[in-house]
Amino acid sequence: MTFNSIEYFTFLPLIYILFYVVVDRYKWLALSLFSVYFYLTLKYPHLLLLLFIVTTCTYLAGKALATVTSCKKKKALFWCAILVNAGVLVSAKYLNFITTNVNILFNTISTSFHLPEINVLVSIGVSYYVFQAISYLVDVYLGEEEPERHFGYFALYMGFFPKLLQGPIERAGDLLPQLKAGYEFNYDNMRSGLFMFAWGLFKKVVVADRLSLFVNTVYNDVHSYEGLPLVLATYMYAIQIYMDFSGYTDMALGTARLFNINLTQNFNSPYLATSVADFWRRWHISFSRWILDYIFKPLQMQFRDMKNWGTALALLTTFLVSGIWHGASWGFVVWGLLHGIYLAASVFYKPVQKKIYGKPGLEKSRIRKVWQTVFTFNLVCFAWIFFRANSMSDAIYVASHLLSGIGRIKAFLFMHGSMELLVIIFSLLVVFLQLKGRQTAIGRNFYGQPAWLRWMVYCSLTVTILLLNVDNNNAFIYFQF
Amino acid sequence: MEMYNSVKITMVNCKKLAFVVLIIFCSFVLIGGKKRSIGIWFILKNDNFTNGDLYNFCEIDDYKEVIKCNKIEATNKLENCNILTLGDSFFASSLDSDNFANELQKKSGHRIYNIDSDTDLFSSQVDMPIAYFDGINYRSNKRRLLILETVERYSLKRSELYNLVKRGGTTKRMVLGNKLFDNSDIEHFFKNNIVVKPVYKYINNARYRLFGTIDHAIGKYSRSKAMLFFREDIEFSNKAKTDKVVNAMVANVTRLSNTLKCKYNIDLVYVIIPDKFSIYNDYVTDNYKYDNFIPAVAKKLTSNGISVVDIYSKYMEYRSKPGAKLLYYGSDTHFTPTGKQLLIEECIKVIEQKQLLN
Repeated sequence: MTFNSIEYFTFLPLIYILFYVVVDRYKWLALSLFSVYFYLTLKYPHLLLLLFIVTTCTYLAGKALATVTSCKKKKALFWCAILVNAGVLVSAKYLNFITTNVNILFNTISTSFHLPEINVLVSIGVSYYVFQAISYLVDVYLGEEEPERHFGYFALYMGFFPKLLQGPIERAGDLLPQLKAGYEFNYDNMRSGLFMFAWGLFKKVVVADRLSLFVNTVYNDVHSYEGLPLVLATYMYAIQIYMDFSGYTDMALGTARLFNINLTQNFNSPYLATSVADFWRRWHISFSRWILDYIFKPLQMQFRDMKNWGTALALLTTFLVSGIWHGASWGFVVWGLLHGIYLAASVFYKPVQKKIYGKPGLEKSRIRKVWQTVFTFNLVCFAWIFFRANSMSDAIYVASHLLSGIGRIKAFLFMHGSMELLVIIFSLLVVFLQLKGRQTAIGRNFYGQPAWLRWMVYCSLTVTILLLNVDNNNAFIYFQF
Repeated sequence: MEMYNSVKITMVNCKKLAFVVLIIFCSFVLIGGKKRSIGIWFILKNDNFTNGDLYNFCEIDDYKEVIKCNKIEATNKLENCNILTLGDSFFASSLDSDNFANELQKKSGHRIYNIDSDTDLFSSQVDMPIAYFDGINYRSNKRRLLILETVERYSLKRSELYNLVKRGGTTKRMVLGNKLFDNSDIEHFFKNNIVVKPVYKYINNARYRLFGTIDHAIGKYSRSKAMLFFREDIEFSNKAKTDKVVNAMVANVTRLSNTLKCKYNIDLVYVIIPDKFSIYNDYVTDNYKYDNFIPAVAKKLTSNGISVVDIYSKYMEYRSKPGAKLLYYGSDTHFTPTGKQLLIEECIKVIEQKQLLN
């Protein structure tokens, strides 16, 4: 069951009404049962088993960590629990990748020894809840969080259906108190939740899925294109993945808000970032906070004697892990490494940058900001090539043919008819106006506006979704992670 | 102030009413989608006529055809027949004609027994003939003929199942699991129930006229010739059929033929019905060249001593004649009576040429 399916549209109002009528004491049970059902509708029963293993192990370890007094035992217990969680993640996601590459290595050194091939397991959502479990364990281990005593609430924290498949990765301190709070019907929450859900649906089915028509045509047959069509397809992919993922997040946040729960906002206009570091403060925020807190900071502490080199090394390692987290393929590894290199380079470039912009007095100028935004966007887009391409050889082809003239640009732009292009421009304009509108008085107090204005927006959004949605059964891109 | 208050109260009541209607509607979709026996009452359907399966996916008026659906009555018993037929929806199809078995009986004069296929695509007799004969405890020394048919797009996948002796055991637990967690009928019921269908159809037509967009199940369409093509056909046409893949399929069919002969004294006649896209791809694309999959398989199977009806070559030959009628419906994946008759003629030729029944 995905957020953009009729199945979900049918179940959501019913689970909402069920949640509403159940007494406060058992509301967690209603949400838990539906979360289990939601996960099982994906038709991969092993996913539920993995979730159960991670949840039970983390819950028990969390409780034990609070009772054990010996530092040595505590540390051993903590690492055991981390290993179990990491083991689940590796076995579900990376075993096939590891065995394939080890066998290639054995082949090149002409050894007859081969590891048995392992089938790829579907691992939808596993990366997210494993990271959430690890963050919980670290917080409990460091004494920043009290362990949860109630298994039901803890299981709901791990598997709450709006965030189960693609995050956001929630901290226990943020989500658990909300799950435990008594429910009171809140009309404003319901209204804003539904609107947020519809807005996310628009971003997904109208904008992202339409852009995917162009992107897929080029990226599934890269050797037929060169020059400008490759550049445009890459830019389109950058927007597609943003609309796809932020659309999903809006739908998750909107759904959760119906139950009076506020999840972490995952995006903040990432393509307006003025540096790659700034980009990571605005893109997939819950994930970047996680890798910053649980990977980068400990590594930086380890390498602190190496000063700038230590920071650069910590950044490189952190983003390498980030790339691997996204998937078991070399494309993701290179994508992560590229971001690591951008950030590591910025550690050395920052002092020089001040001098460069300081001399001509450009330090606070608008031109500088625009230039930095454009430059950052292009760096990020270059990395997306490795993220999107079907293979490393395709990615290398795209990267090396970006500047080979204008290519068959007309054929590329009109491959799906001129109407599709117009709809894309119109939709992007709507998204841009929404982003800009949020900063105006009307945008900040949208629900305080006259009813006719609000209803005009609601109706336009509904009609646009009904008429302009692309019916191509596209799954969300971040599903695979 | 009073008026403002009354408007506000009306608005609140309207919202409450809308919410109640939404809950009732969702419950209706859930029940209708989950319980077929209830859902069927709320789906717009005509038993005697159909509009083509591809039309039913997209509901675009430009492609609407009214096709008569004949009722099929099984008259023969297996023990009285020399020829058995087993196939998918092409053999079951009774659009503007009788089903394949009855039409073949009329034309050939032989008594034909059609093995009814389950509706489940990859767990039926069509995919596992050996399992079927084992299942009914088939014991006979009489020499018989089995005409086994498959549509091109499923031929590779099916051939992998042909030699399975047992059906993929559907346990009670699996059936229950499917009932609970498989919600694919909900989407079908949502789109086709008496409340939504007219609205859905209107939106689909508006989208098609404005933007040319059409249901995902339709891979390509031709406006000038009013013809729809199934996405699975297009995907199969793009699939690389390497020698390894073709040889594996040929090996599976050969093994099936040998088992049928040795175990049940049944001779196999194998038929692959071309996908509509394989025959009429020129309606929607200029640069597609058919990969010759069916003739290639037919040639290899024939060299292994198996009787094959290469209907693809026959259809293409017929198409090149002036005044040729359509072999497939524009709005349906299946063949027209013309396409069916050509197949019957070819089957009779194979039966006679090989003197399989003598």
